[in-house]
Amino acid sequence: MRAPILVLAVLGASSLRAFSSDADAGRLVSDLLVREFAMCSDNRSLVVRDDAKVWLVDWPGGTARPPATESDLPPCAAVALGFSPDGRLFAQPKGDGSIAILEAATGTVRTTLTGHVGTIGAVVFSPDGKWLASGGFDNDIRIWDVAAGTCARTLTTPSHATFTLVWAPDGKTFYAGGASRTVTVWSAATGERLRESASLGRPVQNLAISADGRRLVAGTFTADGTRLPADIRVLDAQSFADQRVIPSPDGGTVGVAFSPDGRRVLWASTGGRGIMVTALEH
Amino acid sequence: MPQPLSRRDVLHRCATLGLLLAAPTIPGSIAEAFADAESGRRQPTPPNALGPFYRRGAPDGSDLRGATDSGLPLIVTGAVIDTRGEARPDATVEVWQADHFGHYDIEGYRYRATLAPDAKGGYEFTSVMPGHYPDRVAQHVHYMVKAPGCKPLVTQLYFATDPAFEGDPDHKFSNDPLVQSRELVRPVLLSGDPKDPMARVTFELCLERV
Repeated sequence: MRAPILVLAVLGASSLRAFSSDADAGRLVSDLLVREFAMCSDNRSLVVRDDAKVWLVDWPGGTARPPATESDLPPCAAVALGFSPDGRLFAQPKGDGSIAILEAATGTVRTTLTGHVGTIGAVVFSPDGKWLASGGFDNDIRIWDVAAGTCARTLTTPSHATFTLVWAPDGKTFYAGGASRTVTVWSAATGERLRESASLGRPVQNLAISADGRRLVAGTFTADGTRLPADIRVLDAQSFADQRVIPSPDGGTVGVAFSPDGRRVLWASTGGRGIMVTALEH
Repeated sequence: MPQPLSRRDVLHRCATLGLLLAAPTIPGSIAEAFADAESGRRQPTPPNALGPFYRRGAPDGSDLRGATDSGLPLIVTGAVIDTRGEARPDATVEVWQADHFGHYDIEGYRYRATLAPDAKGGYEFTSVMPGHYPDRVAQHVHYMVKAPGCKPLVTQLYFATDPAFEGDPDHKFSNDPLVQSRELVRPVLLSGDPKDPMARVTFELCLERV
């Protein structure tokens, strides 16, 4: 479930500090049972949701505070959590397959996108904010024209649920992961599937891309029948070659991200507290 | 052919049984039931989560079992109707489930099928009782049902005999937090040779007209 915007209005003041700003690796916000997180577009903070609250976490300092008001959030909106890059809109999937596009500051529904059936795994705005990509458990990936409120394209996908989507920084392609246990690359302009990775052996729960577009990080989980422990994989975004494999201590991830300089991977697992920070070799 | 009950018939019968005296204000659900009985209107089957293991394109067929598969044989029958009470032979019914050991086939189509109802909207498939697995409390079979002019129905079938319900599905159905309606938990009839029993379940699918 995504963080409802209105929750932010009732948060109290609090802060945590658990990470040294000059450390290469460690753990951020170790007191929080992280359910979802993403790097903000200002590259200086993270949006983190635990069981009860949404927090803004200073990067790389690690100081956590709840946003004072709803309008505190948009300036550092996190696209991976469903915000538009300018922070003005928020895409919220509903259980019935529709997607509400809300004004982030007020929670007012601007439009409702219908077409998917059932649970939606991911909704992500394109870097220019004009398009929204959505991936459903119904095996469809759709591209929506945000201003018109219409479905511009339904992609012919392999027959698997999509759990995660991320746009390349240039907005020309996007990556999808899910029950197929692979990562696929799609052309936004034509809807063609351009490339597919070899099987990662486990379903792909979370994806993030580095700011230069050269690396992906994929968080996997141990699904029924997989019998392989979950891991966090740093992949070459072009060849999908493994650059780093980090074993997960739990059954899966709830979020992955790159630091703005691309030198660290941030990840949180299903049962663990805080956000782990792993330094990458260059 | 029996005539449908009129509202007066229903009210008369209730009065005869003392129901109206006991409940001078008719609750909404009873009033709705009267109206439904009169008009032939039906309530749609409650929806339930789609789940991450759906795969489009399951093969046509009604026997989900492999020849040597383990598990208690299961036969599920039912009818596909819509909220006007009309049979929907034009529906497609996709079903998928875990096998006896609680494993979903993600790469292929084991324990997945697309069913075509008969001329009266009836459907039937043969399978095994789905297994339990760590991420879910209750045994279940997934459904996606579509028919022209109707809202797609995504739901799940549960079994009253499931140990997860502790023998009391009326009160314990929410032991699995994903089971949001008692109506989806169906009675199980064990039949056949006691040494080689099979489970029979009926599950009606009512699609909402749009």
